[in-house]
Amino acid sequence: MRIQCTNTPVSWLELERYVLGESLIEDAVREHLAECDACTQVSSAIAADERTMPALVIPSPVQPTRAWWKWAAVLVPVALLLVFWRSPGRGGQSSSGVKGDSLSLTLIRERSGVLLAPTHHAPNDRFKAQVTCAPGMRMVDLVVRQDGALNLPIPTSLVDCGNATSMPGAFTLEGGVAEVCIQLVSEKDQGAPQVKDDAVCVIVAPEIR
Amino acid sequence: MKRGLVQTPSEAYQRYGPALVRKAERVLRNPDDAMDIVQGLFVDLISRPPTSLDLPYLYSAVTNRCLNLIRNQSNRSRLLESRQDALRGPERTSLGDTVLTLDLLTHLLAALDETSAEIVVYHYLDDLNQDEVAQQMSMSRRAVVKRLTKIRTVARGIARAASQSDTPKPELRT
Repeated sequence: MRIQCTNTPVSWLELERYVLGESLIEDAVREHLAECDACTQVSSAIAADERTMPALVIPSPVQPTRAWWKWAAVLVPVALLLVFWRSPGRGGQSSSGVKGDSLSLTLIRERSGVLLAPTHHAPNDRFKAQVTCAPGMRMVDLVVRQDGALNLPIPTSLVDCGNATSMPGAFTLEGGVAEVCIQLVSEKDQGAPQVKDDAVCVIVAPEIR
Repeated sequence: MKRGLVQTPSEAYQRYGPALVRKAERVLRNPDDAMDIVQGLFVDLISRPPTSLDLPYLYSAVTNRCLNLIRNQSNRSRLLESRQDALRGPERTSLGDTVLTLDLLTHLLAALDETSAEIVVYHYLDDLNQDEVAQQMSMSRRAVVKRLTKIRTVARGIARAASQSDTPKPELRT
């Protein structure tokens, strides 16, 4: 169906932004719509289309089917050799293996006693967070960003940092795609939940049954 | 929500998803393929978040994915068989005397390079004017005008060939 615009049509892109309240030329678009039935028709069609997006289906990563034992046969002796070769000179030095101020997050997903890949979530899943951070006592926040909202499913914890230290408490996830983040915080960070620039995050998608 | 506040792909999916599906439907004329294109885009964006998540960037990504889908011969046949022309929406930018049907679009894509194919979608399906196309594609306006002239010539040639033989058959406005 061809319809005639009074001047140069306002593009679909600009009309979409206008309807979303994101147009940078909002006044010009409004003026044009006031005198152009063709563009008003398109704009009205956009506004009237109230579709919502279905949950995003994120495929579970495919596990590689490598002959892992072949690698293990080579790597295990090498690792043992390195451990015994280096240990005499290192005495009581920490063996945490944590480098610098790096922070990492491992999610544990458990359903009825069975551990599952933490890439997806379902209503009966419990999640625990394991944090790896440089040794010392540190305040750690776990923030979940989901559907545009931030929340703290477990309280801010004082964690005795090291390798894969479990944060106290467990949590569940519902709804859409969740971004689970951990971050080191201080007293001045207390207040409304926020995701800091140096937060470490993982994506957990809803499981489609 | 104001511009720039969409920070994650999942937020962008909820906010811009419907606009992107509408855009993909205009190109593909098939709601299922349009939804697949948009979902596929966001699955990739979640695993590799880009630096920008604004609507023009996402429009560009959807355009490229739609064109790639149409270029595939088996997809092309399937799309032509199942097309729902109403999804194209009102036509406000004219390609001369020729209507840009899905059939003509597939023939144009076969005859044009990738850049010109993108320009076809932006100008004739998304109704971006020449300046907006130039901005969207980081090209000069002059280069866009030159390509649009060539596109019209190619489209006329395809339409003429269609009128002289049984196939292909782009629809002609009378």
